[in-house]
Amino acid sequence: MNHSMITAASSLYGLQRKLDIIADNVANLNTTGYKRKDASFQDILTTVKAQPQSMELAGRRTPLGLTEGWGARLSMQWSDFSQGTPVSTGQPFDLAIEGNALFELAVPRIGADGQPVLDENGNPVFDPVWTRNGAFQLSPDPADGERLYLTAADGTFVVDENGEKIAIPRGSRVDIDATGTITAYTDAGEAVNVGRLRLVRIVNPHLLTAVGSQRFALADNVPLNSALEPLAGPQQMAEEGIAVRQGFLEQSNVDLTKEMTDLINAQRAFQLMSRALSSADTMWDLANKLRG
Amino acid sequence: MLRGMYTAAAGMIAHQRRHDLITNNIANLNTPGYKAQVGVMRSFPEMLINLVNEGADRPSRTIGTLNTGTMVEEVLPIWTQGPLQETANASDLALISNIRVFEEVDGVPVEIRFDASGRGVNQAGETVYQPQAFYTVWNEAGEVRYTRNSQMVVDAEGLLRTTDGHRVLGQDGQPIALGRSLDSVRVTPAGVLLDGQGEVLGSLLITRIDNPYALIREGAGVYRLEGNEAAAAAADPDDFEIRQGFVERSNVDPAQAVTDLMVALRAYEANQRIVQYYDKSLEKAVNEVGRV
Repeated sequence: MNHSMITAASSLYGLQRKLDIIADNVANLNTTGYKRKDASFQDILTTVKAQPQSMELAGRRTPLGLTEGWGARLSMQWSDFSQGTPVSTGQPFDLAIEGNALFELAVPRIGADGQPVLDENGNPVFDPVWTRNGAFQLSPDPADGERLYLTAADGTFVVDENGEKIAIPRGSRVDIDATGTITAYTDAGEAVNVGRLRLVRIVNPHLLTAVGSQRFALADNVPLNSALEPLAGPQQMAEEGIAVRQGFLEQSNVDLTKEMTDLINAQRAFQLMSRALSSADTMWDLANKLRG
Repeated sequence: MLRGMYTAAAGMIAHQRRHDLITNNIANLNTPGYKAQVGVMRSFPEMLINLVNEGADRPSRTIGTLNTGTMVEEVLPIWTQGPLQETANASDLALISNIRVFEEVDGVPVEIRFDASGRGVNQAGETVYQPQAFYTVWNEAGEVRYTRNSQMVVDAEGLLRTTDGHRVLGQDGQPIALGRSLDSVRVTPAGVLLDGQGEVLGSLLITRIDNPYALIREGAGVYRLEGNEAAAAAADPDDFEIRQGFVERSNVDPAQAVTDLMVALRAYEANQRIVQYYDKSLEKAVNEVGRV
């Protein structure tokens, strides 16, 4: 096949994926806790076509051999964890994080048979995922309707410092301070310390994998401490400039102006590349028509 | 057979090769640190045409010289600096290479002036090329390679890598182990990595390549130097500048590339036409001249 065509085809594929990423960002312009995605390009392996020794002439600048590139590909994709704007909602279970940290949620592990995996005591096994989407709510425990747990919108449990589910007494008024400490006030005015939200600091954002619903997980081969570090306590949070804001939600950090600029850029590159492809096609046609 | 037919065919092949190169340049319009490549064309070696067997009493007579085609002789990288783009991403480290060369004339240093392609002439009248600065990296096998890729990440083991996995080397010739993301590291223009308290974490090894045309392109933004390791030396901090939060974009000029693409296509077409005309001449010779 024509060399230009291979180059154009592989590069169009990469550009298409870049366009998909931009479309994803634009679609999530209003998604709470969404972190914009970005990607970079890299040129594909270069091959060297051997040349005879007789091509080594005075005035030649490069070593013998003709280098041939084969286009570009998308080399890496990552999430940009810059801060989104907090917006006041006044809801007691809407939480926003200021600074470089994530909430931890516990997702039931699903086995190969599609059923939740149970440990030896018959309790479900949970895997951690992390999110900046603090739109939480109270969900009743199916076993005991009187007990309410702090969960994400889809019922995933939010965990406390010790990795346990957070139970909130029914009918209480809940106060969550900047360090993530949850206090419930009953009707009688009695304060109950419910626990403290587990917050993890992001050590290396490139190691986090987006798993949908504004959540992030770690790939199997990534050790936890290389990507995330559980925050020890209020003092460390203050040092790192991390705080929890009750009654606020963090908006998406997508900047529409930047996305549109990127879109124009990627689309024009796509157009140029298809132009090169049709040019290569014309060349092939010319070769086919050599004989009338 | 008619010589010109082969000449035109050689022209078609050469322009096809140029088209391939331009397509690859367009494909890498968005590849950070990519350097455009141009094909240098050269005519086939000259032949001396003699008229022989004119008659027994007359010696053979020289008619003149003839070239029988053209080819792409070498592929030259364009070493101009790519434009810098601000990304505000702490792991983008653009490398600006601006190496000035001086020579001693009667004990006074005189600067060699380079043109836009990086070529200059020294006092002795010899052609010299402007040296270029590169990041020094290791590939998977631990062999030294050079790159201008300005996007870096820290992997799960805490090692600093380029976006396609080449380990970035420090001044000690070993991969830099940071153990934290570049978001919390400040990089000085001289390539020193500092943490928040100003403690030195390491220093990037920037290599100066005296004749960058001697580098062999491997793809994925890396180059190697073959046989001539002495031509590479650690660069002086005055020779380069590292800008954190910027990427060096590809130095491909899209307008120029599209124009070149059209020229290559039309030149290919012109050569194709010539082949067709020769074919018509042959047709006449075969079918009409000899008709009885």
